[in-house]
Amino acid sequence: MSITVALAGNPNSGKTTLFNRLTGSSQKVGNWPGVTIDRKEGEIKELGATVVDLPGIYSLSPYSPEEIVSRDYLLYDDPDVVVNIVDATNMERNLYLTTQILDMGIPTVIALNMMDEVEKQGSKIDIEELSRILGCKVVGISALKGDGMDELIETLKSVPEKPKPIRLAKASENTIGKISKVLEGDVSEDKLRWFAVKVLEKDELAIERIGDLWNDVTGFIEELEEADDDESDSIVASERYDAIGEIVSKVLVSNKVPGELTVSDKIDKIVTSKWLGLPIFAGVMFVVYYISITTIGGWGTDWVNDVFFAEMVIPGVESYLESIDVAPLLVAFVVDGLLAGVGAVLGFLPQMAVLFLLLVILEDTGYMARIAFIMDRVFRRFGLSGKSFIPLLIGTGCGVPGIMASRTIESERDRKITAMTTTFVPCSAKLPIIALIAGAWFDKSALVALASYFIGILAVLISGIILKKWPSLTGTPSEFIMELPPYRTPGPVAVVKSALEKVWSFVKKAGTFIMLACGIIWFLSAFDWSLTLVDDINDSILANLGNAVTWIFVPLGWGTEWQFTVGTITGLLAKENVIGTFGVLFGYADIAETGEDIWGIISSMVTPVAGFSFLVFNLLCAPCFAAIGAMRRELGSWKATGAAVLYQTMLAYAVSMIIYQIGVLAIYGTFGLWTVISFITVAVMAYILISKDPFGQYRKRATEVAI
Amino acid sequence: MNLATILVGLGVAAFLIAAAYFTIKDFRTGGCASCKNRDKCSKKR
Repeated sequence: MSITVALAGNPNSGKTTLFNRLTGSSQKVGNWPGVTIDRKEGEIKELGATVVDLPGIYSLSPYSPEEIVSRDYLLYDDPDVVVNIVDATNMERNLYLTTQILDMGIPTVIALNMMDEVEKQGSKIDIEELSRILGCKVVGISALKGDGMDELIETLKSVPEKPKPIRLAKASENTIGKISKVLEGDVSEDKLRWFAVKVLEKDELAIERIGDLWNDVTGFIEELEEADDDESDSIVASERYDAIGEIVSKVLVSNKVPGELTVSDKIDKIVTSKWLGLPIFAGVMFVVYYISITTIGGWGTDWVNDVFFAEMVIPGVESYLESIDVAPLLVAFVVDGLLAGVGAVLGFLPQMAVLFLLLVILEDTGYMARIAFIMDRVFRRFGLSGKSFIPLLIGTGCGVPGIMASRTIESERDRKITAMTTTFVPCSAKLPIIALIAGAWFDKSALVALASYFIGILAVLISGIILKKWPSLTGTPSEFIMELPPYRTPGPVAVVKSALEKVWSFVKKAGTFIMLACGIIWFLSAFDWSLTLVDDINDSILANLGNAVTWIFVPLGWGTEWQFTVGTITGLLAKENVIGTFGVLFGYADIAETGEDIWGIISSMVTPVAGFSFLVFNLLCAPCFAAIGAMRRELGSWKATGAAVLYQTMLAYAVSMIIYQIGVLAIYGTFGLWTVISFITVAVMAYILISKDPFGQYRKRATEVAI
Repeated sequence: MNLATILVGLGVAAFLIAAAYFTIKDFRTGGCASCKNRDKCSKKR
């Protein structure tokens, strides 16, 4: 018979790591809370059991959508067994959820995770005694190292007994008994105690569930509150913690001297300090980009472009096709279209691979969780909470899961603003654009990438101020409480595996979608409207189409070159397309053969300021279609999504225009109508940022419509 | 048109059709990242 095993535990207790161990899958894990935002299913082959990984929760009184996912699953989907993962290095807090799970009456096994770290601290946990007190089986494991997996699976082979709930003080137990009597028949026998306790805690969802019976139990609750002179939920929480304190004192022999700082605490004193936190973060990101763009990754990219494609692939394929007498048009399509486009994109693969590797290491050590903590201070000043930074961190990989991660934010206003702004932070698909601009005009300086990263964060902050003033998005930021995980040495296998997955995903996209797009771009750039081959690319269909709209971007400095406009538009399908398009239009294959540099050709077309303006526009404008689709899901309507895309594109246009116009004024002394318009735009933006109610007229209109 | 051109042309066409198929499939599911059946699916990205 197949059984269902639910994995439940606090955020960052290692549920997904255990899930991956048990099922052999490779779900995204991270050393920060909130990585899992929806439940995931897998199979434990040894047991023939379905295992469900639930989002992390601190208690069964949920506040955010992903916490509701966990609670509803445990309540209504009736799993056969719950494996409650408890972080053994922080038992007091983790057992709070355990006491609530035990109330639910579901057969439970406690997986005491991170036992290796407990041992490293010199502490000991009496697992047998803990098992006896909790009335359920307890298995010590290390999900990261794979210790204790066999024992856990062996334990799950026999479905455990239903556990005994942890008893509260006598007065509370009496009240729970009275409430249970009232609820008998209305809720199932198994869940009776759990509902009674939740009703005693005045849990809104439980009160809603019992309907009119609430009136019959309020007297009992008031009686308890009067006797204890406290709110009932505080009474229950306090008694739970008392019980937990007693349990921990019985089972944990700690070697830790009270008040002594751990290594993590000592590091945190420096890296999260008020004054050093941000400069250290900027320094770390500079080093990351320096290694991935300028040095190791850059050398790799040079080799792939100059040797692998220029000397091996492109001449090899071309000469082979010519040797077997393939028609020149087909050779041109394969070499100048498909290979040139995909080659231009894949040329950046070494830089991306190094960047992926370094970011995974930063995530796994626990440093990225500190960044969210540091950024909370900054974000709060701008009306956003540090919770908004977690989606931004995830968005550095891909905007789609980044936008989806915004659902961990309780406040609807914060959630919407975060979903609308997550894609401002450069995702991995935008990295080749950054590397291209850095290589073409700025001698592969890591500062270009660093500037891109911080321009993205700045755009989020500015948008936080602007959008929170919009009538439908006003409100105070969500509270941000985040437990900082201890620093951990990342597992080399897990790090390499995670980075390779990202690399493979990029290669696959280049080999499918980008290649297809490059084929179409080549066709449109090789023929005119009468479908005759053109000698000059400027006579092609694509040049005609590009020239029809390129004037829009003239104030941004690069609208004079239709290739840049075409690259930007094809980038809406996928940001890598910007590079693929450039590869085809600037003759990556020809350049590779002649030993020239694609960067040299591109940089000769527009000034460095225009190049930077092009980069900023592509960083901030409407994201790719996949990300727009994710935004639609999180914002709930096409109208709101359209407004978000319009906002992003308008902001990108304004910022790029200001950068270009004021840049050329400062560097070349060029002054014109667009310089004046740029200054007016700066003034308008400053007014919106400073004014308390810049959209008052819209608010008034909205109120009138409502009346 | 010689045989080599026909064979290479057919090969390239087949490759592009496969690329189009996988691209459309990804777009229709919104990419695996947002798919609820991601864990049950053997073809996940």
